[in-house]
Amino acid sequence: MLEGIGNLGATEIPMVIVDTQRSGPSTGMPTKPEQSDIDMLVYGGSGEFPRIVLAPCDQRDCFEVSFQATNLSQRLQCPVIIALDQGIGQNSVTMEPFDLNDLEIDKGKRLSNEEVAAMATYKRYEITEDGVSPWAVPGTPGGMNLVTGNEHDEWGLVSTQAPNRRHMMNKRSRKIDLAHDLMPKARCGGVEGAGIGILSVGMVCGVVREVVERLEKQGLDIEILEPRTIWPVLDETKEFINSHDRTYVVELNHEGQLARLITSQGVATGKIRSIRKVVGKPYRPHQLVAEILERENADG
Amino acid sequence: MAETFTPGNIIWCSGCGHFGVESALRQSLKNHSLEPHDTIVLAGIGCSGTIQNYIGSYGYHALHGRVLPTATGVAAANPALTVIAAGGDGDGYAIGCGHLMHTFRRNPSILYIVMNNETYGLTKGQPSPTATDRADQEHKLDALQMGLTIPGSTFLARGYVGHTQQLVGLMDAALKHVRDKRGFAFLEVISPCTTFNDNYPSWREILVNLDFDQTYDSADRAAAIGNYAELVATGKTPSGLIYQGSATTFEDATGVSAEQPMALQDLSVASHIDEYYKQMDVYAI
Repeated sequence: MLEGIGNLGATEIPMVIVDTQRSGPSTGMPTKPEQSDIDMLVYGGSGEFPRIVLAPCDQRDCFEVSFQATNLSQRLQCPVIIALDQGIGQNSVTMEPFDLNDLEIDKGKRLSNEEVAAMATYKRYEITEDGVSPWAVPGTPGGMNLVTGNEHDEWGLVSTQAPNRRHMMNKRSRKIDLAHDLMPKARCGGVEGAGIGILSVGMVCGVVREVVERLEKQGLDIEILEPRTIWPVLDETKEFINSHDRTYVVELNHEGQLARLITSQGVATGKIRSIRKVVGKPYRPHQLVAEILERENADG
Repeated sequence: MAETFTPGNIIWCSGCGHFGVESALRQSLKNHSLEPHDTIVLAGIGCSGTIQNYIGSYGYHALHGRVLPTATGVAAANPALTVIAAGGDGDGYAIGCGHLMHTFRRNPSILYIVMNNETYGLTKGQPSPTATDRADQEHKLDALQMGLTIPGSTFLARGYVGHTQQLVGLMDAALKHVRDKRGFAFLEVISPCTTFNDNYPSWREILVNLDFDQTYDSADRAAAIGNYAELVATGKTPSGLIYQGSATTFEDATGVSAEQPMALQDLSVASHIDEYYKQMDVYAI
């Protein structure tokens, strides 16, 4: 899988990949949920290439996030990975029909036949300010081009020349660096302005909302952040961590991958408290309530 | 008309068989009057996997061994394109062998050219699945013999770069098979590697040219299987058109349309919203 994703990154082919995470490693517990592929989705694959990783909060959010993922992948010509988990992926809910009226498909810089005909030169990997090249799909008259996972020049011909390599690495990475405003924003909830924060993705979100309600009744106010873009780590996530006294990052894995990922992108030390569960079962609200209260009593 | 890429400088060694394949392909594309923009050449990893850089059509460099599923995807997305997959014996018969078997079963209308030099040339001469007399004594694979025994296969042929007229003829027939939407055209070409496995002289003895056998019926699969086995038992292998038949194609089975290619369809919400609401009406609340 990672070989293919790497190819998408190098060839700049738009694609959405959905990983419905379940307990690993290897065959693991294949019918049980987990959130332990985060590191792999963010960092996996040989070499370095631009990618986006999104995480829906629930089934309904899968529709919104998928729509945005498809648009983003076409706009930025890169792989967009949706980090789903088995708890959402194999769970049915009844919901209202989606409102499709305001949805707009973003085809990015995909060229029409007329646009190609009007161009003097067409280079598949033209180096542009925002890093995104115009692209003509196979079958477009006059748009013949080479798409390759080899390092290539602007024409798509294989190149190992140092200046070209530098330009191409920069071109690909700035596609994402310059597009943070386009990424799906977090869902917020809980008690606005509370000193304590709580952060989760995927199937954990529903439980967290229930937990925050219960704790509020007990006099403990917590504010919720459900980041829907987990890579790149957006400013909104870092600001949330930095602006709360402490934030519980609740996730279904052994090492605290989400907490570690956010920390690595630069937040003030000591702000994150990691809560993990890796036994292939979802959190029950009473368990999470108890754990948070215990941590609050122990660490303040 | 926009200026597009100039085909790259060829990386193959002097005497490489792949030159013969490349020129036969060019000739055949010309014989069929194919436009560069309606053609896509996808290639695997290896020396043979540079052929897409030299033709001037759309080109794609696939992952090692994965040119067939990629080409099938392209053909499904836009059946109006002429899809040509190419690669070597290492790429196609080792890591790619599973895909080859299923492509036979699936029978999509794509052309697959395997440049067989019985070695992994680009990485300097390791034995591939078609290598003879290897130190580890693994048994030699014959992909055409395998293809004959897989239901759904419809075009099996072997050419040799030393027999250029036959090669162009086979390439023409293979392209016609594909453009007539009869399914998967598999053309193996013996294409020796002068640097790491120069066996040009041996093919005169090993290849038995079916063009010279008046009694050979390329439409009779069972007879072809028997004939093939007899040749292999005497250390030989056939060249020419080995089998051509008919079977349900991938296009027929899936309904993908050249008139309304998936890749070019209108995805706007406006054009699909009525269908969406119709589907929602099926559910009672």
